[in-house]
Amino acid sequence: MPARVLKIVNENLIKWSIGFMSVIVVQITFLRYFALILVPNTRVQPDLVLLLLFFFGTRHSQIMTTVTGFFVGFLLDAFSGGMIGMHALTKTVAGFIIGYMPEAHKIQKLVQFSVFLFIVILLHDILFNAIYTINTEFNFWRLLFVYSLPSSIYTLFIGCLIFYSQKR
Amino acid sequence: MEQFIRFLITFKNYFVFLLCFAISLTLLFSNQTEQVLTIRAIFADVSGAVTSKLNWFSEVFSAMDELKHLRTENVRLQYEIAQFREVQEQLQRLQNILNLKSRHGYDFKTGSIIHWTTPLFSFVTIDIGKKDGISKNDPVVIATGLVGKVYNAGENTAICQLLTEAHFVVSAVVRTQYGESVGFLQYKGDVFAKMEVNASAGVEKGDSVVTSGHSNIYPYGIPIGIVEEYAKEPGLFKTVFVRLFVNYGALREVSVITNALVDSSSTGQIKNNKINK
Repeated sequence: MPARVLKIVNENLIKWSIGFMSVIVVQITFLRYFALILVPNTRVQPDLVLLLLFFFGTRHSQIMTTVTGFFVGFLLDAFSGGMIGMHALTKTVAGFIIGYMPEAHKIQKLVQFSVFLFIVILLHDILFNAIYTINTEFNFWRLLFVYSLPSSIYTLFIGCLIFYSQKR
Repeated sequence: MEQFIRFLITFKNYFVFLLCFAISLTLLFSNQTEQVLTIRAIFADVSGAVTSKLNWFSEVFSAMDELKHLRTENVRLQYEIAQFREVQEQLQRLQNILNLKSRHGYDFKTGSIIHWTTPLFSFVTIDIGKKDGISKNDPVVIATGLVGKVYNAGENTAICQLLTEAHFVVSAVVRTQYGESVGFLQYKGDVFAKMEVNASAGVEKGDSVVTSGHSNIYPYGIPIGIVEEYAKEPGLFKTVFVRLFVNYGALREVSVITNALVDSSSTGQIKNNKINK
């Protein structure tokens, strides 16, 4: 019996690991072709890794989501060539927050889902920008509203599409 | 001890969170250390090998658009070359008169961008590295101006820090009609950068801004932008807003100057090359 449980757990983990790796690859390669340029020198594109973490978190425990958030954040930092620790930190916090969200089967309405997802994205972006703007000339609020918010809305839109297609 | 274990189990969620948080913070504050730089270079090499293949497929689709753009650009450049030839001939004559030794011939290595950091343009990974002669702190440019510098070089890839990165600072000069005024330039958002120059500098809108050469990274004269506006506040310094030449959102390929600072004197003193290529 434990062997069977272990097998199911492992299969589940392998499935999610492949999912996260694929999303990281898509995030750092193909996604720029779907990006919008609303403001010069930046691209508005969804954070698919955060989105998948949200779906993962509503199906797993808070500890699992926090640890997964840390690892996928670290991998995203490492593979994208960014500052190591930026996404690891923000995705860890996001994972921890997602842990407080209701489980997937309890989220039935699109509005419910949107609100929960938006809270996570917003807190994630606030933390990301707060760290990014430490000791710099950047205006935190401008960064948040002009640069991050459009990407957050894009992520939310993609998330809602996935949720809607799942429910159908 | 039993109580402590029970305490740990009760609050295990918080302990795991704090542990991950602490490790992330430690990593974040040790980005400049040799170990983390090595890790970044290794990961960039690994991901570069995989994603450069994947990028190839998507690049094919955008190649047609690029070809059209390049044809237009080619016509413009041909026209500019004709103008430059005239200027170069004039310069050559003047150099002969002054008996100056002409120092030109930067070595450019051009690479394609394979990764971008998101959501802000801070770092890009390019598909050339140490094997191509790229080393840390080499200036990164495109035809229109300064892009940034090599932050870290792996064997086959290199991570470039863009001028739009929040911590990027470059020493620059504003070329005014009265002379040059030096200051430190930093990205401000959108298409603008900010720099502070001497209040007495006769800065005017439209003055060009180039690298000052007062550093061991960037040679003199790499174009950065033009003065868009300036603040006339009381004090010793004047804040100048510079409109950047480079459109960072449209970058696809960048060139790295691998011999920006050449030891051109017998005394071993490092001198800057003038950009004339």
